[in-house]
Amino acid sequence: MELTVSKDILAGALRNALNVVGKSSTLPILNNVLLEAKDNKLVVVGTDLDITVRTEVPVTLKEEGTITLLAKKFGQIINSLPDGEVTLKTDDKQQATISCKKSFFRLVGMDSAEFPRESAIENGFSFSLPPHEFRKILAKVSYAVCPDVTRRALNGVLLSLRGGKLTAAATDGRRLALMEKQLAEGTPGEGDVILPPKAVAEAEKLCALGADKPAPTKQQQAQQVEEPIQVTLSDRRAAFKLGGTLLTTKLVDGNYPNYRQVIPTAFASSVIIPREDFSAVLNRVAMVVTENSATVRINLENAKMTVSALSSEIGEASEPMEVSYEGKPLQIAFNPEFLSEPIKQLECDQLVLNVNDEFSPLSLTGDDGFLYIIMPMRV
Amino acid sequence: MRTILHLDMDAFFAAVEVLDRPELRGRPLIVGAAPDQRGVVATCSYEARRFGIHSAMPSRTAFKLCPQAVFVAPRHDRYAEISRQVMILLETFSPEIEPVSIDEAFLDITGGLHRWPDARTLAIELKQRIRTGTGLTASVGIAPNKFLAKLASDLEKPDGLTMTPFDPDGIAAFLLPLPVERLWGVGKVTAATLHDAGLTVVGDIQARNMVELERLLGPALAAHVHALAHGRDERPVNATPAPEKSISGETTFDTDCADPLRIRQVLLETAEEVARRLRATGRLAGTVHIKVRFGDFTTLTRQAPLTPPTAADAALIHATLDLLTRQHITRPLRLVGMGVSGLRNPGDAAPPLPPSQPLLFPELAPPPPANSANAATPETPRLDQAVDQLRARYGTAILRRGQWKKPDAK
Repeated sequence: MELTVSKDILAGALRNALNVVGKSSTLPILNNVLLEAKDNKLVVVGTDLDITVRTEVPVTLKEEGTITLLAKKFGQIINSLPDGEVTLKTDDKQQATISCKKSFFRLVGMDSAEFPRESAIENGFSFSLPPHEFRKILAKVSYAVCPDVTRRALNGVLLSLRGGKLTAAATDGRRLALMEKQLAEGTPGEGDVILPPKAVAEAEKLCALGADKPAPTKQQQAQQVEEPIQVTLSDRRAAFKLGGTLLTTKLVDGNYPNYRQVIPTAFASSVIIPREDFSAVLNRVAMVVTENSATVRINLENAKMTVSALSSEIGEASEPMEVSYEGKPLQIAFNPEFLSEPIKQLECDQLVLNVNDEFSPLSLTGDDGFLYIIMPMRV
Repeated sequence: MRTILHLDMDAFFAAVEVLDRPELRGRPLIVGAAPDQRGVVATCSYEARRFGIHSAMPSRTAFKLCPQAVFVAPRHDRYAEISRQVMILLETFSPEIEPVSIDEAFLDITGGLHRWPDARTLAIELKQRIRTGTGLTASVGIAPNKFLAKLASDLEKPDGLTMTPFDPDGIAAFLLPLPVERLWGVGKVTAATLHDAGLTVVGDIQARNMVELERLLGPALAAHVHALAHGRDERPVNATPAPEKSISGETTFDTDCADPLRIRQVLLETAEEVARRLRATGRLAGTVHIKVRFGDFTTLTRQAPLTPPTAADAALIHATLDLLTRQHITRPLRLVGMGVSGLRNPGDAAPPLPPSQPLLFPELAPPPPANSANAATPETPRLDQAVDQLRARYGTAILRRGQWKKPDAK
C-alpha cells in the first residue's frame, strides 16, 4: 500500500474508529484499526465485535493494499502531525511507514486477514432523515434507558417503524420517553429493533459530525439540502450511513415491553410551565438532595407551583414559579433527575405537565412528537 | 441492707458432659482441645483437678499430668441450652438477675426474702431445684453485696452454700485472713506492690489508713481496695442489661473453604442460630448482614434491609443467602458469618420508609426473591416456635433443615 492523504481527513476517519475500538481487548486484533486502500479510497475500520465503524476517505493512491495498526497509537501519531499531506506506505512484513513533512514513523502492524469482517446487512429496510433530526430523536429518549445490562430489552432504545412512522422509545421501568416522527411518504418496511446504548451514543456522535462543520449560510441552506443519514434495520443488525461513514451494530435480544399500555388515556388537569425557568429551578432546588433523599416535591395550587426539597443531612430549598394551573391543590414527589433529564433535551418554550393525582403516572409534553410518562415517588 | 446471692455452676462444661454421658462419671474429664492438638483446657471435672489440671492449661500438659483423663470437645450449644434452663429457674426466685457468664449469675433477693424463713432456706431450695431440673450442682454465696457473694460462692465448691456475716465487724473478720489477691481488681501487679509493702492478707489492708494506701496505690485504686477490704461494694445487680443492638454468629473453617454448598450450609445454620437468639429476645430485626473473610484476612461485609422487620427463620435465611449469592465469591473463605441489627419490639413504629420510586410498568419489577414459597406465612411463627422448643429440649441437632436452595437454582 502506498498513498497520500490530508492529515485532517485521516485524523477524522480515525476518530470515528477509535470511538469503538477497545484499549485492551483480550483479542489483540480488536485493539487495531483496519486500513484498506483501493480505488483511490482508504477505508478505516474499527470494531468491538458488537459495533463496527467504517469510514471511507478520498486519497491519492499509488498502490493498493491492507494492514492493521494499533488504533490508539496510530491515532495519537496522526493527530500530532503538522497539518499537510501524510504519506502512508506498507511493506510485506506488516510494517507501515508514516511520513509528513519532516516527521517519519515506522509502525509494527498485524496481518489484516485476522481482522473480523462484517457481511452486508440482508433483508433489511431503510429510511433516511436529516441527521440533526435523527440525533434529536435519539437524544430525547436515550437518557431513559435502563443502565442495568441484565435487564436485556430495557437496556436499549427501541426503534419501531409502523406505516411510515418512526417511534423511538426508552424506559427503565419507572419512566418512559417516546419520540414519534412521520417519515417521508412511501417509506417502506415495518419492524422493531432494540439498539444497545453504546450504538445509540455512536449514532448520535455520527449525526453530530455534520454540526462540526462551519454553519452554512442561509443561502447555502436554501440551496443545498443537508445530506440525510440512512438508517437500515434488519432482524440481527442495524446500520447508520452518513457521508463516507457506516456504523453497524448488533441488536439487543428480547421483547420490548408493551409501552403503549402505560400511557394514561386521560388527565384531570394540566400545568403549563416555562421550560428554561423550570430547568433552572429544578437544578437549584435539587442541590440539597442526597442519594438517600433524592426527591423533589412540586406543590400545585392556583396559578402557582412551588418546587421544594428536603434532606436531613443537608437542609432544604424551595422556590415558587408562576404557572398556568387551575386544578385542585396537589403535591407530587419526583426523582429530580427523572424531570431534569428530559427537560434538558427538549427545545420548546413551554412544557405541559398533565396530572391526575399524586400517585398516578403523569405525562410531560412540549416538543413535537415527544411524550414522557413518569411515575411519581411514594413519600 | 441488701441480700445478694451469687450462683456458680460447678465445673459446668464437664458436669454437662457427665450428665449426657453418665459413663464418664467419676473419671478425670477434660473439656477442651484434644491432647494432640494445640489448645487448652476449657473446664475439667473435680476428679481431674486432683491431678493439678486447671482451666486454660495447655491440653498437652494436662495429658502429661493425667494420661488416663477423658478429653472431650466443648459443645457450646448444649451448654447454652442448660444455661438457659438454669437462668429460667432463677427467675422464680427473683426478677433481679444479672447473668455474668454462661454458668454464673447474681441475684438480688432482697425483695422476695419475706416469703422465705431466711436466705439460707431460699438458697437450699434454689440449689435443689437446679439439681432436679438439670441434674447439675451449683455453689451459692449469700452476702450483703456482689463482691462478698462471689467470694462466698467460691469458698465451699462444689455444691457449696456459704453465707458471709452481714455486720461490719463480722465482715471484716471474714475477710481478714484472705489473701489480698482475692479482692476484686487486685491483679498480679497490684498484689506485688502490696506484698512488697508487707501486705499479704486482707487484714493487713484493713489495718492501714487511706493515706498510706494512697501512697502505695494512688487515690483511685486505694479507695477501691480500701472499700473492698472492709467488705463494701455498692454495685447494683444489673438486672436489665442494655438491650443488645445486634445479634450475630460466625464460623471459622478448619481449612479455608471454597465449597459453595458447604459455605451456604454453614451460613444457613448460623442464620438459624441467630434467628433463634433473636426470637428469644422477643424482638424483630430490621437489617441483616453477612461477613466473609478470605484466606488473606481481607474481609467483606454486606448488609440489606429486612422489610418488614422479621425474626422468622425463613426470611432471615433467605436474606442471608441472597446477600451471599450476590457476592459471587470464588476465592476460598477462612470465615463466614451473619448477623442482624436494627432490633425493635414488634409493636414499635417502624422508622419512616425512605421515599421510593414505584414502577410505571408493574410487570417490569426486578425478579422477586426466587423462593417466595419460603417467605413467611401465618404458620411460620408457630413453626419457628416449635423448632425452638424442640431444640431447647433435645439439642440443636434434633432438627436439620434440608438444603435450602442450590446456588444455581432459580
